[in-house]
Amino acid sequence: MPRIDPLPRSALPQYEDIFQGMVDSIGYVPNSFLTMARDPLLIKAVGALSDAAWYPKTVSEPVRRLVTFAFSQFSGVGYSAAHCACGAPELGLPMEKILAIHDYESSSLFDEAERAILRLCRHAARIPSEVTDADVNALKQHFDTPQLMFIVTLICYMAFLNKWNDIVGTTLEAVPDAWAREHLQPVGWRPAD
Amino acid sequence: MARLAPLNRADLPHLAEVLDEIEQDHGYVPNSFLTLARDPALLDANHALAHALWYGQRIAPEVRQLVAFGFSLCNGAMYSAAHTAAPGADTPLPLEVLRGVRDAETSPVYSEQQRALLRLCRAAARFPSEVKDNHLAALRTWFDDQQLVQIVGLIAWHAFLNTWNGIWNTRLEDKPRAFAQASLAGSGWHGQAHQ
Repeated sequence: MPRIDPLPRSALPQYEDIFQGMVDSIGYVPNSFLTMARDPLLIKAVGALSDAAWYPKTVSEPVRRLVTFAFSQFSGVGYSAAHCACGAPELGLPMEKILAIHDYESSSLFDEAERAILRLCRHAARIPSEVTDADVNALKQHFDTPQLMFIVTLICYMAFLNKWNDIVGTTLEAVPDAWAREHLQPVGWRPAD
Repeated sequence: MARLAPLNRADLPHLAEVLDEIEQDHGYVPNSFLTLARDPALLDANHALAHALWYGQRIAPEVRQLVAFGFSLCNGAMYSAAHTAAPGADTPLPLEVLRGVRDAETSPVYSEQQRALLRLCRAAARFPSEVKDNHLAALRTWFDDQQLVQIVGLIAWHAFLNTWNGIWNTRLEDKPRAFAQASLAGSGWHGQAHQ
């Protein structure tokens, strides 16, 4: 049960454009945004953050899904991990990579660019941060500055959402919940209590 | 050393309005905003978050500062911890409240409300998270849903900023570094990174 209740979508016609954009992108409106919508300035700001950090095509769709799923998974935030993995195979991130996420250093499924991404995600998810110069320098071998900035922006965007959903105890929606129950349990994902 | 160079403010006349407002609040422009400025839409989004969560009076400035500082310090994010402790337009907490965060449960300096806020900050900064129902339930003694949204939003925004500055190892500016070194002894703050 969430610790702060979301508002019903029908009570928020003023945000319908934002919500429809989410439906077009991922197929449902996350409850997290229906809780943020309690504060008009906050939902507007998070909408601006989403425009800057989620929608641009600076990296390929599989890389976007790899970064956001891995950082959430390594952070132990099942809500966002389910969101970011659900639908990812259809967008080009193979299910085999999702299932091998914890074996990225040794699995032959990943190339060096992906390993560098996953190392950054893993180290950025630790508290305190364990990111090193070597982590960032490794990414510079594979990505230009705008791409690297965007990868970091994706991680930070998920840091925001992960923390929000972890504290609020947001209820996972039916679509990603069913998908994660079927597919994500082998990587340690568990349904919420 | 920083892993992403901040831009030169003089080269950003198109962002002058945003950066001037940040300077009025802090007394300087943090390097974090000059790296965010590499993507103007990202800087604008953070400016919008500042207006939603930091400026204004929807929650008391003392609550805002305690949450932002307490979460950043517990999160090991010394760049943001120094920023949120250093004197500025919206940082009214006395030094003894900033210094004693680690002893808040027993120190007479803290009110029950401040202890409840710091309990949430500490639990949210654990890996993995230790946030439980009782953390938010306790805060309902003093805060309604609208204010809780602000408090959680502040923590989430600082998770963004902490992560940004942790990955880039953003250089802490001289003014907040000098303040933190002189004033935060014993709080757990250290200046090993962000040189």
